Amino acid sequence: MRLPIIALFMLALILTAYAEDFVAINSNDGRDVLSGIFYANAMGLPVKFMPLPGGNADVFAAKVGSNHDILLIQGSTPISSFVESNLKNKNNTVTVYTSTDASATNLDLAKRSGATSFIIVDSSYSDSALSVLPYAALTKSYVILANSNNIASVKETVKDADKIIIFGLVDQEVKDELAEFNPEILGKGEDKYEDNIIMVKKTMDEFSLKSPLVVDGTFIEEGMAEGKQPILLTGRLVPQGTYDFIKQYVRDGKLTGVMLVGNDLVVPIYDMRERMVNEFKAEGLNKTFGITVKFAQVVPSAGTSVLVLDTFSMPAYQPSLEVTEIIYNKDNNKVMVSVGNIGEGSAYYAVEVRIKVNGQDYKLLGSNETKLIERGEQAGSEYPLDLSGVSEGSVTATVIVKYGSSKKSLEEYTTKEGPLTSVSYTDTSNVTVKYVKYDADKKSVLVTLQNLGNGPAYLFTKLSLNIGGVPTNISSSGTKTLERGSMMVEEFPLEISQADLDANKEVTVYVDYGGREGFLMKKAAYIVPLETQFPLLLLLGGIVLLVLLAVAAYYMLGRKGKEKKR
Amino acid sequence: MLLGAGLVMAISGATVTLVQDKARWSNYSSSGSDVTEGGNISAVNVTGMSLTDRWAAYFGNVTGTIVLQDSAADAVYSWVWTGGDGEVCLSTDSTYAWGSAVTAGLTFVPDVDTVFGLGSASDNAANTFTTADCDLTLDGITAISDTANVTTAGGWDTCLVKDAGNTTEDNFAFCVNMDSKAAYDDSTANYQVMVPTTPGGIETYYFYAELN
Repeated sequence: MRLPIIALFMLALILTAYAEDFVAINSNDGRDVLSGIFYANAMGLPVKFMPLPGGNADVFAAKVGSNHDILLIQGSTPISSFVESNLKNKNNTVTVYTSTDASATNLDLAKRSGATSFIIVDSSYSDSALSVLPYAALTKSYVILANSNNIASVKETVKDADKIIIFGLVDQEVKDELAEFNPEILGKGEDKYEDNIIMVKKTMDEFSLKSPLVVDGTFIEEGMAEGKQPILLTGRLVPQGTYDFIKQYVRDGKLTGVMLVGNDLVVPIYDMRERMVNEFKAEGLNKTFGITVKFAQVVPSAGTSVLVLDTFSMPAYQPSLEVTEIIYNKDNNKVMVSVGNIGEGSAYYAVEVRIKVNGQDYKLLGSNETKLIERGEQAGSEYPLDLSGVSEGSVTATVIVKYGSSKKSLEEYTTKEGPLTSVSYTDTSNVTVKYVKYDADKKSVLVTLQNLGNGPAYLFTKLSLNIGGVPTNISSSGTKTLERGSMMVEEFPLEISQADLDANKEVTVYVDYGGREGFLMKKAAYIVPLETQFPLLLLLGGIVLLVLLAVAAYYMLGRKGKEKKR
Repeated sequence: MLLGAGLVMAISGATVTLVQDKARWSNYSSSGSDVTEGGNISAVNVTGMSLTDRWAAYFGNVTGTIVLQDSAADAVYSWVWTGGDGEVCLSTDSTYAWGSAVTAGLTFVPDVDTVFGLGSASDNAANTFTTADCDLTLDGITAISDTANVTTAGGWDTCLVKDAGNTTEDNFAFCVNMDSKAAYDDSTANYQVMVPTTPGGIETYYFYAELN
């Protein structure tokens, strides 16, 4: 009779192992906040996080309430040191989970949740995490923040999964390593708004939801964390794809209203609705959708005043460009504009230049063409302008650069204005690629360049090769300076497998360069053999082996010679 | 394995930057919204009071300013929205599905007593919501008519609505049609609404506005 008792005892142990009925989060790290939310949603538990900025431990404890068994996820830098005691003072049992490494916590909570479905997103920015949060909550999936650094641990975590989705832009290595699990791939990773729409459509269609939350992705709010409604991303300019999606779903009766969180998007969304209603009317349709703004909260029984909503700032990708130079080149009668990317990633941009003479509009220059500028890159543009007969001192220029993270949504801008300085500049720079080597020790591709011109050259280098069968372009970390007659090595950290080495006998190196910083107007492409530099240790080992073989051979031959003489 | 010094364009036109995640995610302070175009609608002077241990009330104004300003925050021009049509609602549901809201007649008032624990006291919901002649248009399209209501000082009607369920606090919302008239203290307000609170209990109410 002991066996059933032991079985019951073991069962009781398992059932009480994680007995929490509430998840609370007190951490400065947004990844802890998201991981705690993902965990709670996968477990079907209520969750609350300390807001940042503005977190108050007393209000937090009042909102959590009493008589709960709470898992408190606390970062190594919590927002308040009073949270645990405040929760305990309300007759809650509190188990503290200390997060010292938010990346590891994300994976640890994945295992703790017992989830068998996972959604993989990139760990760098929050846009993808917010896009998938509702679908994950509704399907009891856990969201993993992945990158090429932690992919081995991610793979270990998901190896027994029933279902894996990879969403949006992720490191190629993440896709390669998870390929064996046949994941569903959602989103191309080219445009966060387009990928977001894919996920919102999937969520709305599969769960018959009709009222998405509309936010800009720079914060998470308490209601968003519950995951009951899809999260639709937009900027102050509603992307065309987002507009088209909303209009189509309103037309089909699949979207009846949107909820805004806070005030920032009130005007663009109301303007969007008005435009849409007018377009429907022109078609003879009487269609619209509701807009509700959630703007405050209160805890009456706790005696609080009316409070702002609980939000936590998230690192949504925000591009940043600056105009670095505007000059007039007398040698070729062109206005030269240089734009620098000082943000954390690439951006799309378009330039407009307004020339004034004596304060009066003289010429409007520019192009509607949207260009891509990489992180750290300086891009130059030239526009023909005839200023013959115009006094130099009375000429001014105003440059407006519109830009954004999405090609179809240039919602930011930067400007520069001032006197139009004249220079006499002829670009005689000349840069070439000497050779390209893969250094297995350094796990890097080394591109050697040489300046053959008469003066210093400025260059921005990109490498193009096939990785895992996928054409891959890698940009250097920024514009470099190369003195006259000098050589330099541009290093591209990249681990290449033997199979990829075999597939890349030749690689292409693109060099944008010029004699003036910010005006890399010359563009060259070099197809170069990819040489391989054996690992030093292997090389030394080979040499040692050869020496040993030579010594052994000498000894053997020497012994044979002595035996013959005998 | 891709290390930190470069960018990978795995797909034409896109880049992935591998950076120090911790620095990005920790102590991240929002730069706030740069109001270079568009504007904001904000509720100012939201004032609350506890009427009894079973009810609380809130009143205030909803105003809006659209500002066209440069990067130095100098306003070029501003337009003012002075309130008018619309509703302000409170609910304990943090994402109330307004498109699913329906009329909550007097037959549902006892459910409010049940879910909020108001019991049979003289100031419970049944003794407060005694008429059902309130009309609302929620979400711009959802018509609510003859829903249960209570008229508070100044002639403000707090109207009861519900969604598909009626068994939890989150199923209910308390709404008022916006106007511009005196609140209970004779100050000018755009809305005044009262909500139940569980005696000895705790709930969080969220404010929602629909502006026409």
